[in-house]
Amino acid sequence: MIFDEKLLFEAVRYALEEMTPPERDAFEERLADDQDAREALAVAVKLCETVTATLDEMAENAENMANRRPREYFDRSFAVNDSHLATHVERRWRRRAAWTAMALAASVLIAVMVAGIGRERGPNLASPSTDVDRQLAVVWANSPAITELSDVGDAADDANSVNAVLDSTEPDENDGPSSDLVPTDRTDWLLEALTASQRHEQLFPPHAATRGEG
Amino acid sequence: MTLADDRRIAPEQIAALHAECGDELRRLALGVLHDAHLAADVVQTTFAKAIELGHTAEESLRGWLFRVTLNEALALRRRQGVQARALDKLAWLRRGDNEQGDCELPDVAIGRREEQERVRAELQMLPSEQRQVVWMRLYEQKTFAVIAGELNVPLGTVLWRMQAAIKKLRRRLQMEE
Repeated sequence: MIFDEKLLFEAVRYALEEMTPPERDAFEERLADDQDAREALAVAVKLCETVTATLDEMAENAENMANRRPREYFDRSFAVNDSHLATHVERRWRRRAAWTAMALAASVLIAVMVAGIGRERGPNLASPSTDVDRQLAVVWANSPAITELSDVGDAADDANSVNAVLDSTEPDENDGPSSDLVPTDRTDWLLEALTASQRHEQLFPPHAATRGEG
Repeated sequence: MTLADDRRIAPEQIAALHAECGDELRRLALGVLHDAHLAADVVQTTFAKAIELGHTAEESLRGWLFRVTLNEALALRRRQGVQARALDKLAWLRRGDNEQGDCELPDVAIGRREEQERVRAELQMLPSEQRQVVWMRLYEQKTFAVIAGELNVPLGTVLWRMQAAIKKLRRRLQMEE
């Protein structure tokens, strides 16, 4: 069949309702008498069906491409950024870990040093009054009067006297540990010690002690 | 069996006619009715008449089938009154295509795909102004007058571009058939 292109386009216009009412009526009259016109209309409908289906598919593919490509691009971009970010975070974590380890080591070192110093000064800080009393007692016990007393008198009485002195002595809380180490400041103790020595001489004259040793 | 029965067209011949031009008849009816269901009904009625009266045809049986189909479609359209105007004026093209696709044989579906491939290739080869008119008319469903207004060209120019595109597309389709 040799197609009349003009007839085909008329059929397309008829199918697409692009004809005026007079044109449509004229074409339908032709359809009633002309087999070519009828076949042209069938071809026109087929052409429109096929082209429309093709355009629909092309449009759908275009939409899918438009939706997918940016997504793929962004996904790829995000993947790259994620790897960079992971590397950056790992490096930063390592740096922080190194600094933390160094700080920890320094802290341990400082703690050890402080502990060592504290151990050296520990007793004075821990019980200053007891240590001062002991030192004063030693000083007092080594004083000449007490030495003489210990040389002459009864050891038991001496011990009792020393204990009595220690028991009767209250440490001065206002004095610091360093001042407590100076025995000359404790004059009341020395006076008491001297008084005790004199009382001891009154009770036990030197000749009696000499006689006893002899 | 009566004398009339002896003159009737054999069922095998009717089946061969249906396979040969049934689809064309459906499209002819569709072009008039713009309704796939009504078009299918018209084709069924046409072949029922062919069984009863086909032997009375004074012209070729193919021409007779086309004429009966057209008359049935026009008569049905008159009975239906004014055609329903859907918002989507070309829905009948898509709907007819989809309904046919549901029941078509695999080889028919393959042939349809090949046709679409050829049309796609021809669309790619069209001049852009012709392709634009085809797109706006068949996909965007704008009238030629609206297209002319949007493109700011005379209506005759739009019609000429569409006609040129239709000519190329039809040749591409017919060349492969």
